[in-house]
Amino acid sequence: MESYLKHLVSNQPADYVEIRVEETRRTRIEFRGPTLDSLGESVDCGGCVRALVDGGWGFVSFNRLEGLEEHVALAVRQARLAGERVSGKSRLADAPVIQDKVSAELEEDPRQVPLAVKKDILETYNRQVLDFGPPIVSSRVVYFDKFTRLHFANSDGTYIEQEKLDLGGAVVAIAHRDGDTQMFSRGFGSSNTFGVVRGFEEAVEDACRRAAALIEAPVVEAGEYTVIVDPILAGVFVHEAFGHLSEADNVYENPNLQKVMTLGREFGGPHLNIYDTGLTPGVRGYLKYDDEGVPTQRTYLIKEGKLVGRLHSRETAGKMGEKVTGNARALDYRFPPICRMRTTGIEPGEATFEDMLKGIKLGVYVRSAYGGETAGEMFTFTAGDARMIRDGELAEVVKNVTLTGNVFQTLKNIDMIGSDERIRDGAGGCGKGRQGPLATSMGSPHIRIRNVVIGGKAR
Amino acid sequence: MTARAREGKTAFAFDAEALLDKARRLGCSEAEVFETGVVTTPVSFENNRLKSVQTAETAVAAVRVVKDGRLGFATSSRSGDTEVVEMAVRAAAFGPEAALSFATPSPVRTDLETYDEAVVDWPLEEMLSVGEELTDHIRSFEEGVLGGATVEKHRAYVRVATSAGQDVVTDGTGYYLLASGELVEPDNMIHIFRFKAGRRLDFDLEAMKSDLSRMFRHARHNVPFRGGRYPVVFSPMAAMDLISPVAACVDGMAVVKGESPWRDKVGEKLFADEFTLHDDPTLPWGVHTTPFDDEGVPTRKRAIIDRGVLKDFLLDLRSGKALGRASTGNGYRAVPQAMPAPRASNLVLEPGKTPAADLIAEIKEGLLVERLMGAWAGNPYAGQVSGNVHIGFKIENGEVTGRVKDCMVSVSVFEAFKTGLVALGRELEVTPDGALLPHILLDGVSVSTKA
Repeated sequence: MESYLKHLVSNQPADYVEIRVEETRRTRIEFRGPTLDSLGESVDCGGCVRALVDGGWGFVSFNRLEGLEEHVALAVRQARLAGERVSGKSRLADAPVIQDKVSAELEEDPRQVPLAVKKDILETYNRQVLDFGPPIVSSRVVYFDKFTRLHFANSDGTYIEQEKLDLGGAVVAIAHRDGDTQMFSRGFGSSNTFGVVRGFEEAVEDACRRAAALIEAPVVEAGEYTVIVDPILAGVFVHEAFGHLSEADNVYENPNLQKVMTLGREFGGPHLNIYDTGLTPGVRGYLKYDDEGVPTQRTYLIKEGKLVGRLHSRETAGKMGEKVTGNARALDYRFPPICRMRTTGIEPGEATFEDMLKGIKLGVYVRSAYGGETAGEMFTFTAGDARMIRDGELAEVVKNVTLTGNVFQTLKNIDMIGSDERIRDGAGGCGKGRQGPLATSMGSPHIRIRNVVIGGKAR
Repeated sequence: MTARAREGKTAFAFDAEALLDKARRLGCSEAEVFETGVVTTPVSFENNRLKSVQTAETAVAAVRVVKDGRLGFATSSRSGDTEVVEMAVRAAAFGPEAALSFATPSPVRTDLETYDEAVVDWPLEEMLSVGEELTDHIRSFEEGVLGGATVEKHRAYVRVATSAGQDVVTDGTGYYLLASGELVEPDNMIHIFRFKAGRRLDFDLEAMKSDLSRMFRHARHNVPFRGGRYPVVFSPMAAMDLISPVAACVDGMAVVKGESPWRDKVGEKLFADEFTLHDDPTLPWGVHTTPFDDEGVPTRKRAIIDRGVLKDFLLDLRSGKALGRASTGNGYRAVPQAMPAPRASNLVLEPGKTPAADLIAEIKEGLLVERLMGAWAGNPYAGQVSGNVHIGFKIENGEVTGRVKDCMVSVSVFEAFKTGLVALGRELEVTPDGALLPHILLDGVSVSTKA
């Protein structure tokens, strides 16, 4: 395979050519209510060729691995067609030429865990939810593992074989009473061990208790509050609101956005540090090389409140005259790599939770995440659950808490950062364009933000 | 399936007969092969210029077997693969009880409009011209506006064959057009977009361009807005966020599992008289039009909610069996690698009599919401939809006066469709999910903003 792929991408009439060939095996198990909903395995085999001619890209993806020469030729033809129309110049940032074979270093290899054992463990959690009693009426338990062998070769001479594990899941408790349904989810994920699936009983209990509490809870009153954000939701916030904005493919051909996202611009107080890294072992966002064969790194986006970096592909780095960061990722062989996050987070500060509560007359403690979305400078995300803060004390649980705001304003309004960083993994992933869910992780300590708009019941 | 049916169409990547045969030899009492193949050709424009020309060809086989009363499932994208049957059999050893029987031979319609050769023959040069026309139009709005576009065509086939003897195949074509404009100012980002999708090349480029112009003009200036309760017009795209909880509650599996609050509500009047929702897989050239579902069961047009009264659920083979009923032909796979689950085909909300423009004209003070963000994150079974207004405009004395930002709307959908539904627009539009919806005017919608 190695010499064949190397041969295919060399001496092509193009400025750059790369080829990826991958085989992925997946297991998926899902319980829904008392019964096993599905249990299945899949094998996914395919490849893609990407070519660059005069600034235009051609991309061909396929399942049939016969006739690779034709796929390469088609990709080059398409790139030429695009290149002719734009009559631009190809500019890819330099990247080291790599020769590497990466085997997955696993603590507990899910491929060695019999299907029956996987099913039994998940079934135990499922039963735990269903045995909780009213108002818990139903459950959902999902699990997947995915093992990929990836071959990559490009016309610069890089050749990489990588083994990758991605594993995740969640236990959802569903409560129902008088026409109201509420749920709470606890997730897990890993890139190096099945072990995260074991010993999840406490988390399951927590999910049940919190779903049950939501049934009793009133809907939050809409308005503007000081909020304390737990590490999970703070991770979602930094991913959604600032991570996406830092993806350089939004910036590199947008002169106006470049002015907004100028390196050195102040985005927050000196206590604010935001990073994106591929180097944290074991989490889902761990990645040795990105899908352009570029080694990953820890990239600071904000250091001491100032913008210092962004997430690059070779093309965006080349056009902006900056260095590659290893953020070009593709969901699978069906897609070309685009600028994506890995593990994104806020670095811990010094505040304690008690410090944060102090002085809040009326606020909301928002916890866990149901989901989030961003568009330009606007973001929105939904908390898993929340508690009111009254006179510096945690008070009643409230529900239907959705936060929204302008990212620049909100980053400035972060007035305290906790010391208790946590990286969060779950069953989902990040979506961009049509490429999702991609394995990413998020990390953050508790943070406190002033003047956050919360939607709910109008006063 | 004979070669005759494949004349001029993509060849199958898998041998369904061989897979069914193998399942039989491995001791399965029943088996089903689902195969789908798609060829997609997208050209994309970013930042005012052509970015890439792509071709993606993919084919996947999904096999379900019943062995010793248990269900096994596996999928493969390795062309010609037969190992997928062993994988399914392996999964069956630990699988759920097979509470279903695969489709038996029954005729499916052959007269539905899903395939247009003109899409297959659409020249790349013309696709590039469409993209250029759209991006040139958008960049002409104002200095600094960046235009983007995706112009895509695809053709696909779906085949379902079962050991019981059902063997059906259908072919479809389609296009997808997306055009967007972006303008970044120091503390304000404007992003607008329009999209069109269909089975044949029936788009109206001029209409799309004028929609984009109008949306940009409205979005160009921000206006303040005070929180409170207001009449709000939801565009078809935003209306989909309101319809989603309804679709979730009529999902047969959610009914079986007790997640849907509507299990005992068939025949009850849930919504206002104006609310009639159909699932119509026979819609001419509809995005999800198909003669059979992904389990090989023939489809037909059905009322889900008729003049406010809940008529029925969406059932696949499994949820049907659990409720002691037949499938309604609503077993669809979200992706080829997923098990079939109850889903709508083309959801069609019966339009009203008022032109959308007149809905706006009647409002003294309120909002026009073109798109919500994050609204999918709510709890669908509770009917709570809460979203940030991504693209939305203030209406004053019947006129759009500017863009509203940093503003959330929250709707208790089930309550709103009962007591807050003022009117539905006359024009239907395809949403990104492939539903056909009109504009929806609701009264008393909770809107919260920064003080």
